[in-house]
Amino acid sequence: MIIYVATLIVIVVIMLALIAVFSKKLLSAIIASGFVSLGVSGLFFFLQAPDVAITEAAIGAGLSTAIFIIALKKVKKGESKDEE
Amino acid sequence: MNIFNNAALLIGVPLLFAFSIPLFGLISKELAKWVTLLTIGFNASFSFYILFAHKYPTMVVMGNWLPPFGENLYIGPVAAFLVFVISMIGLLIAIYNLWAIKKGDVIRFSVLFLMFTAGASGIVLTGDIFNLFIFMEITGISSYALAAFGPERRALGGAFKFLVVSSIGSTLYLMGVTLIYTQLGTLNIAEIAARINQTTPGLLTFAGILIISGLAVEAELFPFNGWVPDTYTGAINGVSASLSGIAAISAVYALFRIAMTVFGKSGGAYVSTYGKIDLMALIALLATATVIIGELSALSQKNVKKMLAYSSMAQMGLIAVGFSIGNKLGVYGGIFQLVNHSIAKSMLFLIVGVLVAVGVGENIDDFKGLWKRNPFLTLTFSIGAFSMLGFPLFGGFWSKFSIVAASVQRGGWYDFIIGLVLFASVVEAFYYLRIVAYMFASDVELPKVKTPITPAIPIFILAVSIVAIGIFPQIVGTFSAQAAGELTHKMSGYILHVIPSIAAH
Amino acid sequence: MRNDTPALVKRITALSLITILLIGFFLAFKEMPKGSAVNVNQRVSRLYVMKNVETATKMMENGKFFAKGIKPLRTDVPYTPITFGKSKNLEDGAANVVTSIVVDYRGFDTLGEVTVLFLAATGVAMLLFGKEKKRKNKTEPSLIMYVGTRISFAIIFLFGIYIFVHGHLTPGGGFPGGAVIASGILGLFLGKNGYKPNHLGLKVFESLSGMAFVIIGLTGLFSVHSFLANFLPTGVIGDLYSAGFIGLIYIAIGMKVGAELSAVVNSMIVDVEEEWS
Repeated sequence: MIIYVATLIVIVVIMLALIAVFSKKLLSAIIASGFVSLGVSGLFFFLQAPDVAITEAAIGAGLSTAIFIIALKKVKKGESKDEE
Repeated sequence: MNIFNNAALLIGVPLLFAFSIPLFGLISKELAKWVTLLTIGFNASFSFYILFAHKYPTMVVMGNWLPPFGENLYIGPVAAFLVFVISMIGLLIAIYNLWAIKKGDVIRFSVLFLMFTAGASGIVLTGDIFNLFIFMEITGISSYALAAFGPERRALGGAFKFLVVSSIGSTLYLMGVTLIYTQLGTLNIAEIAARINQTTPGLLTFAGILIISGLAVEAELFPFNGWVPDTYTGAINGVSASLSGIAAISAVYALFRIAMTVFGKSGGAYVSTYGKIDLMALIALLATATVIIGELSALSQKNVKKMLAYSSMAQMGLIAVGFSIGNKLGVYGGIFQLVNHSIAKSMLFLIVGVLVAVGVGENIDDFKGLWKRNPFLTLTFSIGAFSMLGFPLFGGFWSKFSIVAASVQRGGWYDFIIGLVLFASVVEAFYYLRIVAYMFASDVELPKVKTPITPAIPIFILAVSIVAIGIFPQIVGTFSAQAAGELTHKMSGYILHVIPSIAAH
Repeated sequence: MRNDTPALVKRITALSLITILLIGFFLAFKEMPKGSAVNVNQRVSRLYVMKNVETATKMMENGKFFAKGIKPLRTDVPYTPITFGKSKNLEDGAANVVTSIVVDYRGFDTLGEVTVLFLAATGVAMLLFGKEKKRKNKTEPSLIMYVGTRISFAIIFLFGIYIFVHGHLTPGGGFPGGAVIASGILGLFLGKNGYKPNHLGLKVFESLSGMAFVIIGLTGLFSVHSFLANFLPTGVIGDLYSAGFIGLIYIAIGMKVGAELSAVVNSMIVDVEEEWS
């Protein structure tokens, strides 16, 4: 049973990773990469590494996504200043 | 098995002070710089003690677990000598930083510089292939941040390029380590080295290529060195000096510790590696390409820093050629050239830093008539340039001479390689001599400039050591010869000192 | 690759590089022997027998270390199963095997990892150094957000502390615990415009917890003569006060990682004016 769930997660993760690489908008790329981390943390859990899963969920899906978004916001602020 | 656990202080003390520098920084900015200086000074004196007064090869056992099980540091002839060189150059650059770093976040800069030096010594000391990765990350992350330090915008671009390329490099290295771990179930360098022939050859070759490409990023070999010119030019001069003087040593060490000790076959006139292709030959090809591309690109540069950056790349190629010849004389020449390169190139960058700060500038045209403006910096710059191009009576002569001699000894297609390298040396001589000629011969009349005292101290010491090595090559030569012995005989030089019982299996 | 290269060329290059890597991995894994065909004795290091310096020195003194009679896997010690809550004075004493590998056997790596994180946080803070400007956001977060983040912060904080204090008993440890705490602090930032943590406190906390890790290591060096060696009794497996110094180290790591990641979030979120001239 778990193998089917895991396969499904792998497929979804690969698709999300492709979205993150090919999307034109940076925001959607960041969010897709956050979901990649979430899926990978699920896979770690199935591979019996719960501690790695916790770390991946907290850092990969939570903190680094937030930091990327903050950085993106700052970059956009700088761009609009240059245009003015 | 000779255990000297107190040598763990070489890593422990810098870590302790790196964590506490923010607290010292609350008192004063100057204090942070002095703490860095004194801590690196402790490392320098402790490694001096190990090199001259303590018996080595010796080993440090971490956490009271013996090597194949826990982690260890191995202090053989190579590590003892290179840690001493790294700490001494770090100490001199720290003295320069006392004068050069005044604006910006001085406290955090001191933390990063201290950990950069300690991480480089960690790479040289460690006896564990994953621990090597950790120290690579420590050195790498601090060098990205250091390279981005400074008021100029170009620093950020260079540092970002360095960050991206270097992160990909360390990922490749980690993949290679994983592949080896699936085969042997161990991460200890000595044990992997002893059992490397138990792996399947195809997998071993793939892992080797991954690891070598990962390490070649920091060692500035050809397809992986696109970051070099921008990063060196963009960074402030003290950082460029430490990148070429300190990071270079640890990168070359890591590359050839893996290629020669881990993958190498022991016995025979020269070292070759297990697997479907010979990694040493691969490195020789990359290194030759690096030398030629580096020297030819340096020729057309108008900016001295960029020229030094390309020259640094070419020198790393030359060092790698020396090591990859694989016989004892070649490795001897490689280590000798490595030390010469770090001394001379860090001195040249420091001189450019002083020249920029006193208002001379960093373009080749600014160097015209420098002899009349400031004889001290002109003389030291000329000494560095002569050592770089291997002039007799300067340090670089002996090392280049032994690399050429070693390749003649090895023969075969190395004759062809050394022909190309010698051609590149002619190019190198041309562009260094051009600057020297500009400095002495031009009759431009410009006001004199004074040399500040603090940065003059490290420059003077480095210049004196170049001349001293040129006149008495045995200062470096004896240690290089011991180190070459360790690298070319992996069983008696490395493995048996770490795991003596391996002979019984 | 230069800046003016067309995007399609860049993507094709990247894809082909990745394909080469994948093919390499595929070929490498194909060569790998199947699980059942592997002789475990060959793959697992035979030298994983004499682990402790003391035992090995004793055996060396007795002349046994190099003797041919010794089997690769130890048979001279009878195998006793480990019982939760009963077994005492084990080699390591942590119920969580991952923890005992990460902190005890390979504690030096963990010290390095903590340093890597510390350096990354320091580098970020160094690059974004300057005089702080007042933050002005276009929208004020709603009251629900404000109250909700404050309430959930207490729970998240407590959970983070639980994770790192129980690192040697349950999955988790210093890194996840610290990351959880930092994500709680990120919530506080989102909940109120112009939220300011105590900068001096964060700095001091970060430094002291990092120094605590190294000092624990140095205590090992001066008491057991080995850097980062366990110098405390290992206790009964499953107890909170067991596994020697693992608990202490995980508390130090947890506090350090939490403070560092919060500092990263803080230095990213705050707008500064650069001071170079």
